[in-house]
Amino acid sequence: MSSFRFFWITWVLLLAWFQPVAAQSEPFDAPPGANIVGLVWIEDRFWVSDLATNNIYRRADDGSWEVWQTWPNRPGPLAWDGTGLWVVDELAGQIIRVDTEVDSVTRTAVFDIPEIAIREVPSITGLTWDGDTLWLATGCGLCSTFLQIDSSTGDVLQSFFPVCEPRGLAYSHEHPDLPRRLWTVAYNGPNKPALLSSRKITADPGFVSSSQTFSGFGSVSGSVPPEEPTAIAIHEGIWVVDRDNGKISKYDPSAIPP
Amino acid sequence: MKELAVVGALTVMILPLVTGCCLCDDDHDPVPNPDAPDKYAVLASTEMATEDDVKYNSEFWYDLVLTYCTLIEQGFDKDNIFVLYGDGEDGTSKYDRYETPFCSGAVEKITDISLKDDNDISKYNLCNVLCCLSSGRPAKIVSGTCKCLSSGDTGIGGFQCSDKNIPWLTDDDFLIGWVKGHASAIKCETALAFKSGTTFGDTEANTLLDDLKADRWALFFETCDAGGWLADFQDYDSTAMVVSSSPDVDECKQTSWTAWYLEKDSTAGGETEVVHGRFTYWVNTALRRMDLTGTAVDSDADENNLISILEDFDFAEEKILEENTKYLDVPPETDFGGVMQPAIHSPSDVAPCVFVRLANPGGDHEVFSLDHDDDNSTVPSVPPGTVPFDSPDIWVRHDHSDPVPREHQQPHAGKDNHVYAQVFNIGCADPSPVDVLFYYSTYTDDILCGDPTQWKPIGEGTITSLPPGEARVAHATWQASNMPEPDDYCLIAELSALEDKPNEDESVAFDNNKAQIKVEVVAADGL
Repeated sequence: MSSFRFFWITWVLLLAWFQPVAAQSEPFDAPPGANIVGLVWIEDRFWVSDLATNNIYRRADDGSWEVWQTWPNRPGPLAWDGTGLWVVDELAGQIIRVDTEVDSVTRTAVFDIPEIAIREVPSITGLTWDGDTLWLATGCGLCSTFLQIDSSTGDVLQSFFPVCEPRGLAYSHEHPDLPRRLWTVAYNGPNKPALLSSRKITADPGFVSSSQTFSGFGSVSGSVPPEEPTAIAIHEGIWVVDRDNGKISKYDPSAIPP
Repeated sequence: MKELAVVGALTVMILPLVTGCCLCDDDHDPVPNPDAPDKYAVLASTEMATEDDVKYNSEFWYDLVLTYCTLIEQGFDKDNIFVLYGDGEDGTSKYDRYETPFCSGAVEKITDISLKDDNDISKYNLCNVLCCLSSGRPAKIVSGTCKCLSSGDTGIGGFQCSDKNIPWLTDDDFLIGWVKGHASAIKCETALAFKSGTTFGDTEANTLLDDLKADRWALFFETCDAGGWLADFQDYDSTAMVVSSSPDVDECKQTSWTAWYLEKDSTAGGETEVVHGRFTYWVNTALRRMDLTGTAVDSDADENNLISILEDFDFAEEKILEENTKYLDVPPETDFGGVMQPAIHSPSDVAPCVFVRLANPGGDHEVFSLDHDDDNSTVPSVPPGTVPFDSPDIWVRHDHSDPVPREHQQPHAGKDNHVYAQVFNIGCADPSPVDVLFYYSTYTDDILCGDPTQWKPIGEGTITSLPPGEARVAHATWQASNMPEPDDYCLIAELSALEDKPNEDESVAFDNNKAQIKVEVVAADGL
């Protein structure tokens, strides 16, 4: 095979491979009637958790949603650690890891939600995995907190205040264009624009706090800034669920933080 | 040897100057506040705002400014308000209210003291300030807990009370405190949490303020799980403790929330929504008797133009509970919480009788009658454009009856008339008996009404019981034999209690124990 032919075949293959990804840049619908509170990218597709039906859905190749499982309680925010799906179950007071390879809710790990995160109202708004540990976001007014949790013990490793009303939580640990940061959406009610908030993560809470930056939602084809964001995920960009229009849209931050 | 002696002598003289007096005893005994009784405030916002229009961020600056300017409006001297915020510098904002100059241009800078130490925002200077006020010395750290120094005058981080002109309060002073921050409770042990990782617990706060001598004081805490603060201050009989969120002293876990409120802003083209802590917004709105658009609110339950701590709390509670019903309409799965319950702890003789607006809030003995509809007892009572003889608390009736109608009747010449004066007790003790002496004088001008040197006695009424926060009416008969010829006159009521006498100033405007109206004595039918 000549190098010329090899070049073109490679290009064609690459283009074919990128085609679904390019399609993923457009906003797409959440499951009809859903109340999405968890969004996560697992291997090659998005998964969502829905409080309206208690279903956990995964997106099919044709863009439709298929029910993976109906959760026994109310499924909250989701996180993917590379081999297992973590689900917040506030009703049960637990964070549960399940095996997505089997067609049932098969627990592979479970621990209690830390006491500091348990409020008088449902308040957990985000969950993510940074490569080693879980991060949990509580959105409870002045008590809103980010907690770093040892997933093997459930112990809280560090905590700090998000200094915003956090909606969703995601960690950009694999994305080439985003620095390694912890991201959330700072929700500001229906009349003021939400912002993207991110910060660097180290073992020093003081540094974590001081590294916080806010940025607007950059323009991406077909996306409008979310009116009522409820969940966030990182996959070749930042994806946000907007409960107001039922869309899941991709955004580039208006300013990439250092 | 002589040279060595000179060097040695110089060293003894100079070294203390260089080292900050390390060779001498630095224990300068603090002196209780030598100034006249006054009112002081401590304001601490324990998070730094970094953005405009971001919930749980911006309001840490907005609420601080709002509370500060409310106190300025309430007659606090800016030198008597100690503000702890961020790195010691003011925040900035795109909204003019929250950008220097503050308080309608009255104040250039409001932040006095940094909350930051080498790590980040911490509790240490809050401890220092509270100890200065309560014991005259700053704080030290013992096993991570703040305690007030018992000797020495250099506290945590080199803090000295004198550097910041923080007085050691005396029995006659009044203190108001406002703290906004992150807090959480475990088994109702509530603690403020700071970015540095330090925490400031309710028991710790109680200990620091244990020696506070201020006559009466009021503390406002906007934190989550605020019931823990209430529980720890229950034993103080001179304190009103008002907190943002606590279903009960024994079940104190509850969130504090923020919301968006309309306010005037020239930079936003008129009015805009600005985020505030709901608790802080409403307690300030109640004290100011207007919201941030300038619309009057009905927080003055007893209509004496003064807002007590109790009136303040009652109004804020009512508004917050109204908001709760709005948030409760939202299904829980489509929003997160929003319900909060403010709470108050106060001995019965504190919250109803502490009026922040007074020069001496929470003083024992203070009576007054209104000089005009907007009089709040402060002197001079008559602002430009207000007539000094328009008291709504003085009136005349032709016949005496019980209950007394409040409608004024012009007195009849040559007949018995009945004069009344309503007296408010805005002190914390019952001052009765309160004698009300009625006088009249010929109307001479629109400045004084009548010549104070020409007052003629009408009679005297006595109020035998006047509990704090209440009002009673005194009555005297204006005898027919004492009625002047038909003409315009001034009718004066002068209030006198054993511990609150009228002053020597003959001008009604400069004594809240005097009020007057202009009356027209008219010819009675048949005379």
